[in-house]
Amino acid sequence: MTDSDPYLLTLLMAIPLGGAALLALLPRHQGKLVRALALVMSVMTLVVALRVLYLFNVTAPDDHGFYFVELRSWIPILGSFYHLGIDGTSLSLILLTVFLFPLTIASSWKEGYRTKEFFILLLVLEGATIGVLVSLDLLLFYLFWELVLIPAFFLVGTWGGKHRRRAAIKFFIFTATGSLLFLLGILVIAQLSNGTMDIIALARSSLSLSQERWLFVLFAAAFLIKVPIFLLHTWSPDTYAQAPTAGSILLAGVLSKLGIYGLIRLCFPLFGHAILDWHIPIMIIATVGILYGSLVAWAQVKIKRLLAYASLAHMGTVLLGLFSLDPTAMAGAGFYMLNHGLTTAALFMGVGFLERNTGLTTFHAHTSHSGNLARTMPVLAVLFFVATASTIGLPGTSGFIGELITLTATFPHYHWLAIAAALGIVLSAVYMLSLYQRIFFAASANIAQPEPSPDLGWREIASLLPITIAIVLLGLRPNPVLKMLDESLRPLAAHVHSLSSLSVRNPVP
Amino acid sequence: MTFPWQDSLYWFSPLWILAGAVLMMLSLSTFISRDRAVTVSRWIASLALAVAFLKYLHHWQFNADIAVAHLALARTTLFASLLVLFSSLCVSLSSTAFLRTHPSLKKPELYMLLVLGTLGLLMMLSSGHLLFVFLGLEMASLSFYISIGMRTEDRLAHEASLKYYLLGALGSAFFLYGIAYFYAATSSLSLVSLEGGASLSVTGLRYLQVSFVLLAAGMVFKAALFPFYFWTLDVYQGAPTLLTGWMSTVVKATILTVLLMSVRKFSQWIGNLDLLFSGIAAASLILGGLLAVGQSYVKRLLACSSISHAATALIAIAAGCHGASWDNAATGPMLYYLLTYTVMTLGAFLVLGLLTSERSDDLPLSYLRGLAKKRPQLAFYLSLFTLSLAGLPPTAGFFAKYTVFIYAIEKGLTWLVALALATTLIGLYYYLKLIALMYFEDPDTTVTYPTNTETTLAMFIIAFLGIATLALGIMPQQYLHWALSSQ
Repeated sequence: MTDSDPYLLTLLMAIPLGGAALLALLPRHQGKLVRALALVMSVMTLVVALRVLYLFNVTAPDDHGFYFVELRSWIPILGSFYHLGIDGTSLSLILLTVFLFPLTIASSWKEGYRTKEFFILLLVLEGATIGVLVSLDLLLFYLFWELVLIPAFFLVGTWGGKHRRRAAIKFFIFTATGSLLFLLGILVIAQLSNGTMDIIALARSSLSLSQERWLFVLFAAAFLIKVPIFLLHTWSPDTYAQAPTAGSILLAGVLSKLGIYGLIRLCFPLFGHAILDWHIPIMIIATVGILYGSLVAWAQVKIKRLLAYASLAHMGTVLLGLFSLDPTAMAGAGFYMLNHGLTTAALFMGVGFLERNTGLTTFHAHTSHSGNLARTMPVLAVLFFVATASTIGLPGTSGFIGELITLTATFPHYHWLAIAAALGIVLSAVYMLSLYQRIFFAASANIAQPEPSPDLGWREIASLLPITIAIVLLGLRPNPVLKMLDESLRPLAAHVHSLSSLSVRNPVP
Repeated sequence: MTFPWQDSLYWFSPLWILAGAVLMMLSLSTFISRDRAVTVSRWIASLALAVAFLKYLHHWQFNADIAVAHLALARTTLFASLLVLFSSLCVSLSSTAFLRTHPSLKKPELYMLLVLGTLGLLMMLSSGHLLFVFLGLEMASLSFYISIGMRTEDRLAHEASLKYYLLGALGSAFFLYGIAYFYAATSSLSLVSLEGGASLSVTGLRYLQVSFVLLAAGMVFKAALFPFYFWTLDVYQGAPTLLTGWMSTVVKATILTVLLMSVRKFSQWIGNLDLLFSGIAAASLILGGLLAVGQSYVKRLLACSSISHAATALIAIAAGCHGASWDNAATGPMLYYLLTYTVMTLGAFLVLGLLTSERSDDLPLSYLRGLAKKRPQLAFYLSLFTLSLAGLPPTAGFFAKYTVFIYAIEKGLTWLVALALATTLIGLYYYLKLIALMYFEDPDTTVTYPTNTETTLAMFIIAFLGIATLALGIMPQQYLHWALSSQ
């Protein structure tokens, strides 16, 4: 427990949110100042997060396994306190978030339409996301969970594509349905827990089986919609496709992880019995999602929609690993989730640059720039290939590690599901390589002398390169991150297994 | 028995102050020109309301309930009185901005009616004597009827005023009939006679039940709940926007508090009140929500939303009745809901009031298209208040709903809470539609917003309400404490 830095987590949230407030005071026409300040704020958050990482490795957790715990009075009347704390899972997601946001801000540097509002919303989104990741109080968690929706809604609806308005409303209503079910669950659990809203205390409270089941359905609705899981996913292709580049990067890269995080932080500790009962049906749905997402992605012509369905398939793998209840598979799923964040961010960023420089949004577009982009945009081609390789799971990338661990750990327990998921890997190779081929290697059809499209500028390289470096780095040295995840997920798996009165099918190593 | 003038003068001085202000403003036009009279009236009204507010605030510090003859002030009714005075004060102060674009309302009688209405509502809250309550009700209603129809050439306003008058008279008739039955039951006109060791014969009990149904019907009428809510759409639409805001906030606060105070006394004599109120709340939520979806005028949309909000506040009362006896802990959540409702609705209508001129006061939804580009500050505040009406964190509306729902679930009305959450989802659709209209669309080139309405005072009040909305949503502890300590 660090007594010297009791404000670190609050600082982590306060910098982006305070930065957004600061930006609001700046005059509208000072575009450069706005962007610079936004970048500075997000980099400062990154620096603070790195310090948290450093201290994380040298301090010991408190009794419940959380670090940097802050506990202050907030709304005692409702049993709710300003309770913050992180463990390995939340820290890894925080690092993903604070890593991606500055790069996203840099990649949107040229945003000229209502620049000030754009960057304010990005900073609020960052602050709210970090808030979700550090909250240890149910009501505080819910507050930040809902706060995430508002900037995302405005980002999609104001700076998005042609059908942005419908996509934004659909996104909000879909996600809000889950949130309202979540709220009902919170209200019920507040009643059952004699007024405390503390997640750690709630984990120790005893609920009857039927109560757990109902509450699990209500809570998981919000999280599974966000991931998204197959059958609750219909908001995602439209939203990812219509969102501006920064929006897609953050929606797919960061916000979908919040759904998984909610499951890990809330559902697993509190509703272990319900998870024991229902983890197999959820895994089956997730696996069907892998195959469905892959097949539908293969059929797509619009690039962003293809990536949206691919994202659905990959999150299915994460859910498969998570709900297999094998500790190694859960750690692998956590790692795969981080990898997915980086990879999808790189993919959407690359596609965004592609769209900006060549106007290409579908495979059949005959813009004056199409054809043989590998020659005219070699830098983008290389960087995009790293991201593609990670999606497919080529060794050397983080995607390989994630898929390897998740599927090999799931296989002993659930052969058929793991095999089906592996089939998803094959399919991902099909659609991703064909995507790559059609964008970068296809010869131009009608145009004899295509104009050379401009390759990435230094700013764009500066935003994309770090992500690809991270992908390769994590692919070659995954252990530090894996250890961090394992440390927090293993006790969780052990807790769920201990609730089972039957012996497990395979002994947990 | 002689009336204790001195005591009433001290404890109920706000009533005397407001009455004096009304009399002053009535006779003002005799002495000075009408134009000067408008300014002077505004000063008198604002000053009187401010002094009244401060006096009641001072009384609220004391914990004891006040009783002087038939006048009585519990902390609950003090809280509601403060809400009414606050709302009226905000309206009076922002009227300068509003009157710049609505010159036909620029009459000294406007302020006189404002204070008269406030006085009437305060009278309703200051007594347990039913005839006094009725007197206050009629005084307030009269001022509403007239002030709504004050615009000389607006047919819509005249229609609204007449509709409100006719239907409001019906509601008042119910109330009066209920008073008659109350007298038949208890041989007294004061609710105090229901307390303690009172006893009633069988026929007396029968009469009391009828009395309550009629009294409740009258109050449901005024609060615009199912089944007497249809008038709100036309009346809110036709009334001048600022007055709509005033009307919707003060009436809801008063009527719901009076209803609560009555239920406190009646609940030991009449059973199944929870069934009655949950039914009304459920039906109002569903119908109010569904009605709002198809609306194409902003004020009608907000009228439907006010129906839903009144229903949510009613959930607290229903939960209080659910059980062996009346649970007074229902008061806190309901008062907190009224506090947040006042702040956010007043804010929304104030912003809208700054955007309209006399010709465009009917406010079709398309009028707000692309507002964010032309009036970014007002669009921001309107979105903030709309998000609060929708009940999203971190705004006031969220914790208001949360407190009521937590209490309702504690008392066992989980089904009603689930229904309320479902209608919240429906509500999200039309509130988001409004925000999307302002932010995601391009402005209509044929629409021009007035340029001179954003006065410092009006913007200050709107900013204050905006900050209050966020404060109530992020750090509600202190304000929850206020509401809960007023039980």
